[in-house]
Amino acid sequence: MILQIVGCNHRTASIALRERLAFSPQQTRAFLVRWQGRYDLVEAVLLSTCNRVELYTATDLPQAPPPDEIIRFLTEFHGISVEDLEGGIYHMVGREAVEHLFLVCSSLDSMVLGESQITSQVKQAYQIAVQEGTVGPILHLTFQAAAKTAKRVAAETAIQLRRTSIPSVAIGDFARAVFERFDDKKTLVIGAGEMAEETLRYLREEGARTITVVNRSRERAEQLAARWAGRAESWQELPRLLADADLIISTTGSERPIVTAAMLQSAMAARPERPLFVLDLAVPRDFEPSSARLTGVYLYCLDDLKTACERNREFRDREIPAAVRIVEQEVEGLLLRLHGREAGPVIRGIRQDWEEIKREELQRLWNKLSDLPESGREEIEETVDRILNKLLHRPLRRLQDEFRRGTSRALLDALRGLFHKPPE
Amino acid sequence: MRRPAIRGSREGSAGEVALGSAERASRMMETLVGWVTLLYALALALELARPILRFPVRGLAVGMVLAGFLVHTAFLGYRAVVIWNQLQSAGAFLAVKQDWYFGLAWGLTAVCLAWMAFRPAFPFAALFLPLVLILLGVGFFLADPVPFERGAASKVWGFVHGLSLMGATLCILVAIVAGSVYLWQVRRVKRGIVGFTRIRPPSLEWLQKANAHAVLAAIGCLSLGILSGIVLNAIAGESGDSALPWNDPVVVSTFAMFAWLSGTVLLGSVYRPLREGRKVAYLTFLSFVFLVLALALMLSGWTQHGKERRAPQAPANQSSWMSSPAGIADCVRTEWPGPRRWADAATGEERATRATGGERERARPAKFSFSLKAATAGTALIYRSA
Repeated sequence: MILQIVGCNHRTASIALRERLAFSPQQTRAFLVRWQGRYDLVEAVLLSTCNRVELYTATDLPQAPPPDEIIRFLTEFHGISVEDLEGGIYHMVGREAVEHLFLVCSSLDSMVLGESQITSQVKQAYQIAVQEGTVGPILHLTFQAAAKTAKRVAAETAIQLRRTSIPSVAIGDFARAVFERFDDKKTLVIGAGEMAEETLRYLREEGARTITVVNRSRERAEQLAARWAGRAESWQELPRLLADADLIISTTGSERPIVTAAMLQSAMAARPERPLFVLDLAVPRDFEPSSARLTGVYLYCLDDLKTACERNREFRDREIPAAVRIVEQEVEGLLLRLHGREAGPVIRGIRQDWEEIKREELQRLWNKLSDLPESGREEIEETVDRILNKLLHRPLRRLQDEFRRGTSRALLDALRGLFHKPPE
Repeated sequence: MRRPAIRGSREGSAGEVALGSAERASRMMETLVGWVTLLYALALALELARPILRFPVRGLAVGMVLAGFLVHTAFLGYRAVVIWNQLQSAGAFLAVKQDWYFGLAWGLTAVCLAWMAFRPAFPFAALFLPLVLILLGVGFFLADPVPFERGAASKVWGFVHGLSLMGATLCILVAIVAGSVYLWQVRRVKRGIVGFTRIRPPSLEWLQKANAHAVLAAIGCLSLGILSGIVLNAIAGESGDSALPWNDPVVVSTFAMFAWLSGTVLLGSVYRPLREGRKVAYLTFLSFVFLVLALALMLSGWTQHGKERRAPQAPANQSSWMSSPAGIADCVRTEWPGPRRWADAATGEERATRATGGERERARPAKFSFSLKAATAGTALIYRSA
């Protein structure tokens, strides 16, 4: 059995190269159809995301397609030359390849450690390959084990629990600590910066509906409001809007605070029973820092959020050893199953041969000792069985150890050659 | 030496049989309470260890609380059946102070389980279960096991009174838990300590709502409790018993709690800053002080509440005190000699003398009466009065 990967990722290839090599779902299907036409006995799964393009292949044949040939096949599909790859392609075989897939699927090889999207992308790639009929017993076992590993890593470690991007931390952690739901909350966006839009995306995912945008340029406010099905208000309305809002995202380019503590205090006086959550994502800050001391005001600036992101990243990093241990356990388990699957017929063959020899020899003995009682025959038969088992035990144990190291082929061939009678 | 007073009644062997059954019932209840306490204590330990342990123990803790809750339910059911069978009165269930505490602990555990299920990221059991264990402990060791004496009319009102005040107490305890977590969460959120901790309290919005709803429910229950108390007092006045004085400490503290809670809610409806989450939480704490005060007064005995207030009219004879709940209650309260078994205490010469002819000692403030040890007597009373 030969399992190998050829591909590139965010560490080995530039974004420009990854873009040229990327496959859409339709292209993936077309590629797999073409692959099957050329290598019908070689299983294949193609994984293409924004951070990686990887082709997983496996075969029970003694010879697998060489990596150069696979690379050429990949580049030909996109009509680019191998020289354009600038050496950004990697190739892994056997245990290394399985380990890599498990790390990828568990999001331990991702640009953002612990992001859960990659697991579903791997599953999707596997599904496409199953539908196109390019998955056989080896990749079935391997990808199912990869999904199981990802599930274990997610459940047994906290690697996916902490958010690491500023907008996701701002909404998922900070705003969620204050509000239970967002569909009944009023969101006010001050300014029309990029970060505000990114944060609005998370807010919308959490259910926020009522969005109001104010900006010094009314036109830009209207554009942003239109994109998020909100409404634009004039800058002069800001004091009233402050009193009305539950959640404020501020990203203006102003050089001085646009909302003073006194302004916020008077806004809070008009709605004392409702908390006000403020994300000041502007640099320099839009809200006077002393506003944070007001009762009912929860004000966070970019530094607060960055600190939280950094802590979350450190927390995720601390989970890596535990996650890697799980990956190693699962890799070991899969290799044993894969090689066991390969060695099974050989071991069964040896056992059958030896059983046959045992039966023949015992029959000869019974013919000689015809007056031997039944109990004596059973005793002899049990002894011969014990001898056979002891003789087989050591080579099988050795074979198992070799499977763990993933280098079983030579030994398997030797065993087959030494003990197994070839079929006549 | 004379025969033990409680065994030497006119019923003779029938009384002994009744007492034997009572002993068995008492042992059964002790065993059940023991199991409930053990399971809750284990669940509490697991919940407290949650922030430290790396492996997940929440499921185990929920299982422990659930198991304890089921045993607790069985225990309350058993008591209810015993009392129902013997007294044929639904109203008599909450007439036993012990049951009031055990029932309250049960209600609090039910809320705890619900919150554990809906808010798995926060170990609510670590806050609820200490209260539950305290209530079980108070019910077990301090509360009176002897039922209030009640006439036919007062049984229903007594039940309503006990149940509504139990509901009010439960709501205030829930409000306290929600308020405490709210204040803690405000502190965390203000400092930006969110998201990256193992323990994640619910949102401020949820906690504030839980607190406010619990306070409103407490006011409703208290209103009903006070109203039923007034009716009970009127019934007592009509039946010749002296009514509970309005200046009784328990009455005063209950009224104060009601006035405080309803006053803050009414004031909050016109003065909006009072509805701010932190203020609501602090206001709830003060109502908790009133609650603790009322319960402490009840337990300490510096009150006429729940006691027989009929003036002594005639010397009691053996049969009258043996057949009257108040008689047994007084006997337990006034003659409990210390941490000995009640049965042993009941065999004393002095007790027997009093029981057969001496003037009963009345209206003496009861000391903490080690009620478990007197549980046998309480249960015996229930059997005997059938």
